[in-house]
Amino acid sequence: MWSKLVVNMAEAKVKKLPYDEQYLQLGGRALIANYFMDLVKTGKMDPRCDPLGEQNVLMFCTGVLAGTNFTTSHRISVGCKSPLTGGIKEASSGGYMGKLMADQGLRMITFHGLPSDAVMRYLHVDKEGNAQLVEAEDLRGLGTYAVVDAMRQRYGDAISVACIGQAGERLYKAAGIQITEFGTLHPCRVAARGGVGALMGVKGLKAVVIERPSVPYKVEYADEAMFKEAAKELNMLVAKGAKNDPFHNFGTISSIEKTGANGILPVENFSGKLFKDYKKLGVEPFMQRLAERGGCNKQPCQPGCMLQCSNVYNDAEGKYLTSGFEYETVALFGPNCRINDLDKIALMDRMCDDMGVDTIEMGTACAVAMECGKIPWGDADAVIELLAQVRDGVDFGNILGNGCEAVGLALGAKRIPAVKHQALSGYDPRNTKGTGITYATCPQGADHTAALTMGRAFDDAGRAAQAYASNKLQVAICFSDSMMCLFAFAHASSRIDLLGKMMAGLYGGPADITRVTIGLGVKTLLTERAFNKLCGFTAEDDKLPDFMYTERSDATGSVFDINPVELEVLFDF
Amino acid sequence: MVSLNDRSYPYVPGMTLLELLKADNVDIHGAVLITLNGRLVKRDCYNETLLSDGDEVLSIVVSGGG
Amino acid sequence: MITSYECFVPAIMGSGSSKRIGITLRAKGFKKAYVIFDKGMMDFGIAGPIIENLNMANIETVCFDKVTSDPPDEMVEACAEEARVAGCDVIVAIGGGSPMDTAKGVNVLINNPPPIRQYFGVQKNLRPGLPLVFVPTTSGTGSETTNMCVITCVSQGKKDSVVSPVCVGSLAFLDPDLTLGLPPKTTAMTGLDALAHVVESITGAQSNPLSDALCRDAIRTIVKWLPVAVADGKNIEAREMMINASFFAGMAFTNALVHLGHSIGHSIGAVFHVPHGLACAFCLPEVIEYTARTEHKKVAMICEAMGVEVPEDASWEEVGAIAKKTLRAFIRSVGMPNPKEYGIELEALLKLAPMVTADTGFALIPYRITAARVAEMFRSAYDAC
Repeated sequence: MWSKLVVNMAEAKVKKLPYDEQYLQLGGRALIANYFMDLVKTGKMDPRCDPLGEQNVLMFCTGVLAGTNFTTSHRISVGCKSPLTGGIKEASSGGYMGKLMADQGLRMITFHGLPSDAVMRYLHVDKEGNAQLVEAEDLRGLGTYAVVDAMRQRYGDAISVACIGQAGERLYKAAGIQITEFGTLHPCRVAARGGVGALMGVKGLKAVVIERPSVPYKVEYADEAMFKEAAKELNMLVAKGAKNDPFHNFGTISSIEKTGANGILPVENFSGKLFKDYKKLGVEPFMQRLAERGGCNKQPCQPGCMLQCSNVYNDAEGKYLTSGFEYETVALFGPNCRINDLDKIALMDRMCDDMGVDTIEMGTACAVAMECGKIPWGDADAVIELLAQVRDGVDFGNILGNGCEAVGLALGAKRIPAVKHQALSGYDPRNTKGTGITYATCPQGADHTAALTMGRAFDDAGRAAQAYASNKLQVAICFSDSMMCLFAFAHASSRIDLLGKMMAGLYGGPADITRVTIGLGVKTLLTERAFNKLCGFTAEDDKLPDFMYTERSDATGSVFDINPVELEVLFDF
Repeated sequence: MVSLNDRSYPYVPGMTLLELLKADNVDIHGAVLITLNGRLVKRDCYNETLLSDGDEVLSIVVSGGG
Repeated sequence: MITSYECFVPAIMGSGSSKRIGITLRAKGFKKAYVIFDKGMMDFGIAGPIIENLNMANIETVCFDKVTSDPPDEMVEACAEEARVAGCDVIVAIGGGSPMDTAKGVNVLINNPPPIRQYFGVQKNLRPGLPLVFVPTTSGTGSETTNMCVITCVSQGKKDSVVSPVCVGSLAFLDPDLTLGLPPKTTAMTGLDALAHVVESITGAQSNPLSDALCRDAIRTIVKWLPVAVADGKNIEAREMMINASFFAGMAFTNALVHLGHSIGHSIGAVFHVPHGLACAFCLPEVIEYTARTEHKKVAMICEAMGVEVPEDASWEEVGAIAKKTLRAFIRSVGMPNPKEYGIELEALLKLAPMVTADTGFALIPYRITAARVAEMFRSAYDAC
C-alpha cells in the first residue's frame, strides 16, 4: 500500500496518508495534470489564483513504475501552477530522490498553503519513515551545495536532498529546485523550468531531505512474473541502445555537434546565424578536459540507469567545478551569447546550480541583455558578474532572476524568445520547425523536452511532416514523463507494447497499450490544455515570438512558415 | 577481425580507421563521433589512426536532446 | 521516336535558399572553395554574403573576381591556372552566364592542359575536374543546368562551346532574392534568353515530351511574369517565377538543343558585343516563323502557350506569321530595341550571314537554308516594330 505525505505549511504539520486509489495508475506528468484539474473541479483551487498565493500546491511525485527494477523508473516530477507561465507545470528531474521516495513507500508529497510565520523549514523523512518539518533558519541564504553539506553532516550520506538556493528564497520566477545525484550527492539535477523554486520559497520551504529507509517498501505486483519478463526485455533493449547513444558515450553536450552544423544551435539571441567555432564547445574539448583533469562522464543520476548521461567536470587545476553539465547550458550561455569558453560556461553552470536557477532562462536572458547593450556580446566575465547579482539579490540581479522575458521587457527588447512567458531552449525553431510547433503549442510553455523533432521530419528546416512529428512525440513524451526518463524511452519506443505489459503486471488489467498511449498520453495533454484554458490561456498563446515568422535564419534562409491551421488542429485527437 | 558497431570486418595489417569507416559508408562529414576501444578519436585523425586486430569501433550518430 | 531524358543538376530553390550554401557544402565534406564571380557581384552585395556564409560554415574561400562578359579564353585560362594553384575541393560560381561558363571552362582545364579552344565540341573523355556549384543571379542563361560552356576564342574572334560531363554542375542554388536588384533592361534581356531557349528547343530536332512539357510551362511563365519583373523588380513572386522558368528552359535545351536563334545570337554577340539575350531576341520572331514549315504543330504550341489562338485549319505560313507577330509584340513590350535602334548598320549586319551559317549550332536547324535566307531575316528584323 503506497502512501503520500500531505504537508500543511500554515500549521507546519505533516500527515502520512494512504495514497489515493484513483491516482494509483498515474505518475509524473499524468498525475500532476489530473491532480491539479481535480483541485479546480472540487473548488479547492481557483485556476486564476496567484501562483505564489495560498491556493497553489507544490507537489513532488514519482513515476507510475516507481518501486520496480525497470530502468529509469525513478525520476521525480515537481508539479504546480507555474509562477512563470501561469499554467500547468511539470518540472521533471533525475537524481536519487525518486528512488528514496519509492523506498519510503511514498508516491507523492504535497505542500499546501503559506506559512503563518517567517520561519524557514525543511521536510525530513527519516530511516523509519517518520516525516516532519524542521525549523532551519541557519540554512537561510545558503546556496544549495552548502545546504547539502549541512544535511550530510546531520544525516549522513544515504540521503537525497531537494532544495532551493538564494533564487528560490527571493521568489525569482526563474528559480528551480536542485536535486542531489545518486552517488556523488551533488545538487546538480534540477526541476528547473517554470519557477517551481519560487513556489517552494514562498512556502518557506528550504529543502526536502529523505533518508534511505532501514526497511525499503516492497511494491505489490498484480502479476510479478509478467512484469519482470517485460521489464527484463525492455531493460536489455535500453542497454543495447545505450551502447551507441551519444548521451551515454559523451553526454548531452554532444548535441551541439549536430545543432551547430545545421543552424539549429541558437546564436546571438536566436539570430539564426551559424557559430563558426561551435566545435570548441563540443565533444572533443569536453572529453579531453575530462580525461586531463580527472573528471568523468557515464554517471548515472539514479541507480539502475544504463544511459548514464551525467558527468563531473573539473577546472584547469583539476579541482571540482560542476556536475550535470548539459547541452542547454552550453548552447544558451555559449553561442547564444557569443561565448566560446567552455570553462567559464562551466562556472556559470555551477553558479546557477548553487543558487538554484534555470540555466535556460539565465542564458537566454543574458543574450537579450547583450542585444540591448547592457553587457557586451561574448563577455563571459560580465555574465558571471550578473549571475552574482542574482545570487546576492542586488542591482540587475532582481530583474535577471525573473528570467528572459522579464529582462526583455525591462530593457525594451524587440526580440524576446519566449512562449507563454517561458524562454525558448537550445533549438532555433526556424530550423527545426516541428520543435517550433512544440514550443508554441505545448501546455508547459516553450519546452523542447516535450517533443524535440530534430531528425524526425523529412527535412528539419522544411514544412513537411513537422506537425505530424510534434503531435506524435508530444503524446509519447507525455506518457514517457509519467513513467521513465525520455533518454531511455528513445531506445524503448520500438516496444511500447511492453510498457502496457508492465502496467498490467504491476496493476492488473489487460496488457493494453492504450492505457499508456491514451491513458497517460493523450488524456494528459488534453487535461493540461483544459487546465490552461481555465487559467485564461487562449489560442493567441500558442504562437512563437513575432520575429521567428519574419526574420530569415542566415544559416538556412528559413523562417517559421508553418501554416497556422496545422497548429490549431494539433490536439484534435 | 575488427568490429564497427555490430558488424565485423576482416583485419588487414596497416588498415586505417578511415578505411574502415568508408567501407561501412559512415557519413564522416555529418554529426558522427567515432570511438576506438571506448576512446574518442579526433575528427582530423581518422586517416592517421592505424587499427589493430580485435579493435572495437563505434560510430555514434548525434540525434539531439538535453 | 527514341529519345533520352537528360536530367543533370539537382537544385535547391526558393527565396533565401542561397543561405544554405555553407551548411550544405560542409555536409558534403568540402573544406576549400574556389569562388568565381565578376566585380559587379561584389559591388552589388551579392558575392560578399555568400562568401561569408561559406566561411561561417568553416569553408575556406579563394576568390577570382575578374570575370568579364562573353568569357574570353585567355581570361578562362588565367583563372584556371590560379584555381590549380589554390588547391580547392569545390568550385562555386556566382552570377550570370559568364561566371558560370568561366567556372565550367576552369573545370575543363583543372586536369586537362590548355588551351581550351582545342576542346570545342563534344568531349567524352576529358579527365574529371572538381564538383561545380552554381548560384545564378540572372534568369537567365540556364547555364546551371547544362553540360556546356560558351567561350569566346579571342584569336579567332568567334564563340564556341565545350560540351562535356566536366561541365555539369553538382548542385545549383536558385534564389530569387539574388535577382531582386537586376535592372529592368538586364531583366528583360536575360528573360528573353530564356524565351529563346524554349522556343528554339520546342522546335528543335531533339525535342522530346519532357523538354516540350518544360518549354510549354516556361513559355507561359515568361509571358506572364517577365513584364512584371521588368516593371517591378522587387516583386519576389515574379522573380521566383522567372528563376524557375530559366531553370526549366535550361533543362529543356539540354535535352532538345537550341538552333538558329542562338547561332544568330552568337555571331551578333561576337562582332557587335550585344548582350546575349538581346542578340538572340533580335531575330527570334523570324526564326520561329521559318521553323513553321516543318514544325507548325510545335509553333502552334508556342502560340497557345503565349495565349494566342491558332485556327485549326491554318496553313503553316499562317501559323508562322501569327508566331512572328506575337513574339515581336512580346519582345517589344519589355522595352527591347531593334538592331537599328541599337545602333547597328544594316550593311554590317547583312555581312554576318555567312558567319551564322558557319556556327556549329547551325547544324542543328530544322531544315537547310542559305546565307541569303539568313540575310532576309536580318532585313526583316532590322527596323521591325
